[in-house]
Amino acid sequence: MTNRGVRGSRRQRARLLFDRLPTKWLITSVSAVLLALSAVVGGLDDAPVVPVPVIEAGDSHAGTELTIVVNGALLIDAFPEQSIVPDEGNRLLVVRATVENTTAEPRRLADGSTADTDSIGIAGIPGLADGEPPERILVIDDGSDRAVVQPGVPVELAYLWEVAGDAVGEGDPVTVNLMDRDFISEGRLTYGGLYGAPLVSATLELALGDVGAGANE
Amino acid sequence: MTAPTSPWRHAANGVLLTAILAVAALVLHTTPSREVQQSAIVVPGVVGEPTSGRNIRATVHSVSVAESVTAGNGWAGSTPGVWVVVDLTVQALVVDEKTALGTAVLRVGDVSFRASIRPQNGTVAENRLATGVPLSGPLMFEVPTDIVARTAAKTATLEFATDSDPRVDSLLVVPVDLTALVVQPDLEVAFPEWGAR
Repeated sequence: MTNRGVRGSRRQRARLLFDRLPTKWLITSVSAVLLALSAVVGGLDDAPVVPVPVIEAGDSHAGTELTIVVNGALLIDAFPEQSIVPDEGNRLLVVRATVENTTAEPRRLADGSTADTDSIGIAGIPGLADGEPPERILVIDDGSDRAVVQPGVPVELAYLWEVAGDAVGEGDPVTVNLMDRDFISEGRLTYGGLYGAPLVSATLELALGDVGAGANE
Repeated sequence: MTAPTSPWRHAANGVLLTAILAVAALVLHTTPSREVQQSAIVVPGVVGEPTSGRNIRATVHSVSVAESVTAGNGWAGSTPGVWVVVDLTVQALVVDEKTALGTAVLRVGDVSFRASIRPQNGTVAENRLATGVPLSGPLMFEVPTDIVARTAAKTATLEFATDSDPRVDSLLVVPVDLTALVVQPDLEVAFPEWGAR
């Protein structure tokens, strides 16, 4: 009886104390506990950023949809046979890459005029925004544009950017970024997949070559 | 005071409620999915015979496989795979405004290939169609070398529609057996021309 009475009064006292506790204290202490718990997973530090893998020219990089081998980067005056002639004083920066589609359906590659599958971007060129899509993508074999990569058939492509003639020269470094699509979900109101901004899945550094007018190539 | 409800009335209400729930469940579980609601209307065809959909009529004259193809415009693109070349006649039936051969797909099992636009004007892929005036010419499909020998290549299909998105419109589906074809080293095809074959 007495025991129970003491326990009862203790409980009552605790209850009273709890009732008198200001709500602010309660919120603060709960926050403090949560904050302390977060220390287990790194506290308030920035989440670690997984570094983008750096590869070498000629290395094969498998993305989610495309496997890409970058073969080189060079400067050329123009491609008159394809009627691709840059503005006065400008030159073309060409990245050559072999692209294989590892999905089960054809993929149209995104150039400046379409927003399809992103494959290659460049960075570190003065006067050209990083991640600027290529102006044109040509199939090297026959010079046709509007590149579509059929599943399982690798194709060598030339990605073209127009750059100022004095912005870059032979031997200058260029960063080539291999892009990957960021699939969000199947659309609910719209048909087909929804994609976020393209991700850089690998990067490599190349020295630019220069073939002048390119007549001897 | 109202008269007490008869037990039959109670039973009838119960039966009615159950029936409504059953109908609701039936509607819920048999509603076609979005894929079914929007799917293309398949028109089956055979090689050599014209097949007609809402706004497209096409005839597959022949299918061949070649390691290298020379188109009527002189194009002779190379590929690490092989070319499946289809001789096709196609026309629009109702309207030719904004009507092109937008879908020209070769499907082998789960894998699909779009007719190559690399030959540019040497192919009828993505060409404009005319109402009542047939267009005849080749389609080139760039496929991996091993695909023509796969089991699924026995039941491969060619699919044609007037838009690149063939949903809720006619999709002509012509089965072809790729395994029965001999891989030719070279193939020369004609330039696309107006008129039937």
